Amino acid sequence: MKCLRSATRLPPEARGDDVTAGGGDASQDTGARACCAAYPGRARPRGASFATTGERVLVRDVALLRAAPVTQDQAAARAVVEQLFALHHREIYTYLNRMLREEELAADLTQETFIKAFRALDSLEDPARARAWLYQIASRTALDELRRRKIVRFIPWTGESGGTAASAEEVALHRRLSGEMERALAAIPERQRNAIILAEVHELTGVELAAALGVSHVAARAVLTRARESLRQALAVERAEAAIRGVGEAAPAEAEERRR
Amino acid sequence: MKRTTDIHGPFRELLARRLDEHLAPPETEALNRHLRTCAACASVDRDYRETRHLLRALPDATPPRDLWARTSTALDRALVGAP
Repeated sequence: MKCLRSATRLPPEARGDDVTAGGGDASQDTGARACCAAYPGRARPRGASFATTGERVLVRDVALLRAAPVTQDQAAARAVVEQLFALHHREIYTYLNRMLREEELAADLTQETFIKAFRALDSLEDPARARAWLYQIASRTALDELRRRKIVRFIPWTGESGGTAASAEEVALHRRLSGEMERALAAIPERQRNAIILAEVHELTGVELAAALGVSHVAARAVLTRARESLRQALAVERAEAAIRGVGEAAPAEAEERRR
Repeated sequence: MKRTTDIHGPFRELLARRLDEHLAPPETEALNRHLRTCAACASVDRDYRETRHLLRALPDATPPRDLWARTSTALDRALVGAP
């Protein structure tokens, strides 16, 4: 597997808590920590191809599952999904939360994603691509929910990321930029929004993105290219409108000041 | 107006692609040559990079602590219901 985002943004201590909270055994924990140790505090570079212990265990277990008699493999399938959960539930939850902007709904759909994964484990042909496969399930689940509920809002950027204390000015700036980005994202087509969030926020590679979107690499790249341009234009429009609103809001105050 | 779009369109596509993959040397050379003389495309290049920076700065969310317990229970139900 090329990139393990479940083990990228948090320090090992925090991530270890999360993995074990997922009900994982020692091998899962070791796997996540191995990845953290290799790339502490940052995303694994794209193209890195080593497998963590957890990933190797996953590959082994899926191989065993393939060889198991049909009548005996349900428990084994559950164990594989348990490992997938330990490795990826945090990033899947973050993705769904970002798409839907409702924490409880994101939790429900994360659960649903892993239940669907359990039921469709036979379709996981290459365990090394389990992450993209999970994103594919989560993406379809999110888009179905969005279509059903017509939710187009996104989580605002709180300015809490980065790990360093931000000044009040920086926090205010981040909040403004977050609001702009949120509205710009909401303004672009759903499919493009999904692609750019998966590619940029969750850092799926081109191959992973194609798998997650369920399209060819060329088609995924085309959607992503359109998404970049749509978002750029939407952000420009949003900033222009914000500037107009700023002038509109400032004008009465300035008039009042002049009257004094 | 359409002519302007046609001139810049391929370079805008290269700018977007460059964020995700290595371009072929002739493509890189052509793009860099164009960027040296085209302020509009250079501006788009900056916009794309800024957008990437803003998106990647979005914080991770923290799942509820009982998410595994809930999922595990649901898996057990699915296991019982499985053929």
